[in-house]
Amino acid sequence: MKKRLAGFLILVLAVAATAFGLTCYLSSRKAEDQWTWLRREFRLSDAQYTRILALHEAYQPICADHCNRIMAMQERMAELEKSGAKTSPDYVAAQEEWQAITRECNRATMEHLEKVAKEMDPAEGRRYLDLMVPRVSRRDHRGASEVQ
Amino acid sequence: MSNQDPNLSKVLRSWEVDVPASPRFNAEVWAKIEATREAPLSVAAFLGKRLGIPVRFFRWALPLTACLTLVVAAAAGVSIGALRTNHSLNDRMAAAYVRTIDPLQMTVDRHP
Repeated sequence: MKKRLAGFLILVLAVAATAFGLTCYLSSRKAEDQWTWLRREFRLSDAQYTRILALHEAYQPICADHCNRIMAMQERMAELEKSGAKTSPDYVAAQEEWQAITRECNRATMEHLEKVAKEMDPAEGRRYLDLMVPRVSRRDHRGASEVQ
Repeated sequence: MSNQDPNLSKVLRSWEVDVPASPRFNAEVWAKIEATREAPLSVAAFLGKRLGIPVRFFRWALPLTACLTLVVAAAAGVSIGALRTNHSLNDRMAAAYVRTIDPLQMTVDRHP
């Protein structure tokens, strides 16, 4: 009787594990890009989706400009580091400028997220911010060398 | 009358009883056997007694419970799998989305 019960328990576990594995496997095969996901996950209507897409398009040049400025500043700091001028006034000035740019980037990114959230239904907007805000980089008080 | 009465023996040999076969004969015999059999589980017997369900119906209780347990196990596996996949998909997609709007992450990606 005990043997049969043990065998049955093993069978139950095997069935549960197979169902779990199959679900994970089949779900991972679903090809979905981030926009399809965003639309589905936050239950966006066509109008909301179009407005959010427009916001994203409008934000891209701002984002690219920030990106270029950050990269330029990082290159300048890296050059100064190579020439051994890490304690020079030039390096300190570059570091301050880098921090100012990163703060500006953070602010712009957060504003963009809030604009997108406002286009969603209130509950979905809150959920969107809860999911996205922790993923935005925060390097306001770090130096360029700490960028990973 | 004697046991050796040839007439009686002759009559007995030629005697045929025409009893119509009962269509539920087998079922009735099994029902009697099941009724005298002990319940397979004490819980089943207890419930059967309390609910007034004949013990013979508990013949199916064990296989039915086993099937239900397997169905529940499969459903649990699917649910947990779907939850886990959805959670990791949200993580992955949210990270990919933020990378398209966060210049700091873009520069990290491009930085050597």
